[in-house]
Amino acid sequence: MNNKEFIAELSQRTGYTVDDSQKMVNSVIESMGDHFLDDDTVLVPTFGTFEVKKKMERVMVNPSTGQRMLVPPKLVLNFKPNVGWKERVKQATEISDIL
Amino acid sequence: MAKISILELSSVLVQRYGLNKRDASIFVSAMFDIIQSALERDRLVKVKGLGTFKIIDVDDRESVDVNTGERVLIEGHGKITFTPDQMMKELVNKPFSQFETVVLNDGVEIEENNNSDEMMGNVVDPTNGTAGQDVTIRPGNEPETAPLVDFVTDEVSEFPRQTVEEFKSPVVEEVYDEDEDIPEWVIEPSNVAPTAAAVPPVSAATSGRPTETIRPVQQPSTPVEPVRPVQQPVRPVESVRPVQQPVRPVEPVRPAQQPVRPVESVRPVQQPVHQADPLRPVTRPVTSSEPVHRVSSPSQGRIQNDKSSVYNTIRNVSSVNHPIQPEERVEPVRRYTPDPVPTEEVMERPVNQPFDISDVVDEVPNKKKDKSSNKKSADKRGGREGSSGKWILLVLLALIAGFFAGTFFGRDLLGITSETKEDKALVVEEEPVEEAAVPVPDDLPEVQPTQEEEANEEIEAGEPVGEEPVEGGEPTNVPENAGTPQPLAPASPTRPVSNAASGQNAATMQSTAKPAQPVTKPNQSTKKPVQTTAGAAKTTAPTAKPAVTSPTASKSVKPKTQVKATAPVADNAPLDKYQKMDIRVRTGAYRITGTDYVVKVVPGDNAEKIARRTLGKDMSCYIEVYNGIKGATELEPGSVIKIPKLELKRK
Repeated sequence: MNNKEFIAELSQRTGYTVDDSQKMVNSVIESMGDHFLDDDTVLVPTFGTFEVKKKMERVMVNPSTGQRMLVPPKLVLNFKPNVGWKERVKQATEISDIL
Repeated sequence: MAKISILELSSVLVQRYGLNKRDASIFVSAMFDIIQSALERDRLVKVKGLGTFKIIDVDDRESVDVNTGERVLIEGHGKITFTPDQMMKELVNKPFSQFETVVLNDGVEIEENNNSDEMMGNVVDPTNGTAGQDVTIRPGNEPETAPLVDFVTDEVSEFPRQTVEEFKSPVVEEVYDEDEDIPEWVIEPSNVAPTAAAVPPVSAATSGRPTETIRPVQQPSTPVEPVRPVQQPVRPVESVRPVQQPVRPVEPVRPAQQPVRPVESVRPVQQPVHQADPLRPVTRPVTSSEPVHRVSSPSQGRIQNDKSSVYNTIRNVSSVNHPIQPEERVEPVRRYTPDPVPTEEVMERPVNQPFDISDVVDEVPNKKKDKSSNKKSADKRGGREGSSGKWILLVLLALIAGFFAGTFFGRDLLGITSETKEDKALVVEEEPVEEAAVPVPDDLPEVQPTQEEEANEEIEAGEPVGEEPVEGGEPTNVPENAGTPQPLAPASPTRPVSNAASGQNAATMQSTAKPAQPVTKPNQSTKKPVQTTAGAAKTTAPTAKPAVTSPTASKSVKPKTQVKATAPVADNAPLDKYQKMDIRVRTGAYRITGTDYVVKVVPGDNAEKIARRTLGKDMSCYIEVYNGIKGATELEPGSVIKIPKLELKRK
């Protein structure tokens, strides 16, 4: 499902127009971004947790050239799915695999 | 680290679109609900601005139960992954967005990098410390100086010590902030010299006669750089100084006058320096921080006079203080011409340089011991008079050292390691010499210390001189330094001089010593500074480090001074010029050893972009200095830019 389908389904379910839905989704995401900048964690019940994590700097070696690069520290957005949902997905996949 | 729930997210909708809270929260939860259900259905959901959610299949894999050691089969399963959208990624990483991946050059060890960073930090620190010291010193010194004028040496010596100590702690803190400043100091070798000059005036003020001699010395010292050989002729230099004195009589006089006020003297001197030139300003700052000045002056003296000249100056100083003054005076004269006020700031930087320099280190070791005793005695006795004189001497020495250091900074880079070793050796040798000198100067407790200090100074000077030669041939130089400094320093000249100079000289010496002590204290920190200096001039830094390590704090200080002299003298002159051109190059981890290859400028290119493509980010300074261009200016498409071949300064 791409963004277009996502917005379409959202507008259908909530009753807003596609444009409004897109704007509101953007606003929500923007708000999330603001919170991430503040190092806040966004908790969405039954869905999961969005959290900003800091990755330390490290030395990376290009295996083919042997060139070593110093990768700077960075902040990355991490998503940790809700445990229940995660288990469900796990089970469902296993079942589908079996099938 | 607050935890945000749907409620907070929906509040945005309430504010912007006038939704009621309930509808807003329903909308937000619907968003994630759809993502969740769509993900389970399509296994992939892309949300613009947020990112992509995906369910990936994980294959079966074997693992080991860490507790039992049994092999366990982890069955394949689905896993939810989330990849942030590019926009979101950048937004989240905004705080660290200025960082870029850097290519590590061959031979660069991470640890080394850390060290270099530390070095840089240290260097910076010293500078900062100096600056801080200068500031503190200034207030104290000025008041002290006035009193000192009467009491002179003793007080001066005391003050410097105090300031030094105080500064030590500050130095570290300030270092980072002042990094930029420091580089500037470093960049301007001439500044250092001015500092030295400033110092001389002070000394001159302290002792009118000495000042004149000092001036001569300075003149010689200037020549000395070329003269390095002069080391042997050091004594001759002294004679030369007199001659020079006549030439620069006016200048000396000015310094003397200024010195008189000074008490003041230090500040005045510095101020003049500032007026005269940027360099001079530097000197002034040094003067302001008496300890620093002293240190720097020695360095400068060494630099100017070359080793031999330095020795001479030292001797002169020790004996009459005059010698020292001469060196300082020379610079001071110029400085004097200008106004005194600015000097303090400038001085600080120079001071740092001197500290960095081996001279400081050298002085410190000898001086520390001597100084500690001297300082105590001097302080008790009325270090005010003697201290002021000493201070002046120290300042002068520091200025000289700084001058030399600045002059030879670039050179230092090349031979730092070898020099360092040499410096250590020198330091050790010097110390003995100083000890010997100490006995000689029996005059007064103060005097003795002073003499010792003088001896130290002399030694330092000698060391520098020797170092300079050493620089030429690092290995060879080392022996020379050791030998030369010891003999010279031993000071036959110094001791005699000190005797002649007696009280005043001793006082000056003590003051010098005191500065040295301060230096020493900083030395530990100085080591770092030295290292930083080394960063600028690898040679210098290494030398300083070794000196510091081997000889204790005080000893280490002396080595530093030596290092300064050595580094300047020995280092590669051709390469040095690049270091002089840009502080970033001077303080950077690499030195330019030639042209590696050339690149053609593409439209919109500038040195920074080329550097990013070739040497790496933040390496543009090397390209800038090597091609004589500015980092941000757009280059003419099609023109050829030479990419310098870089060599790690510290190996």
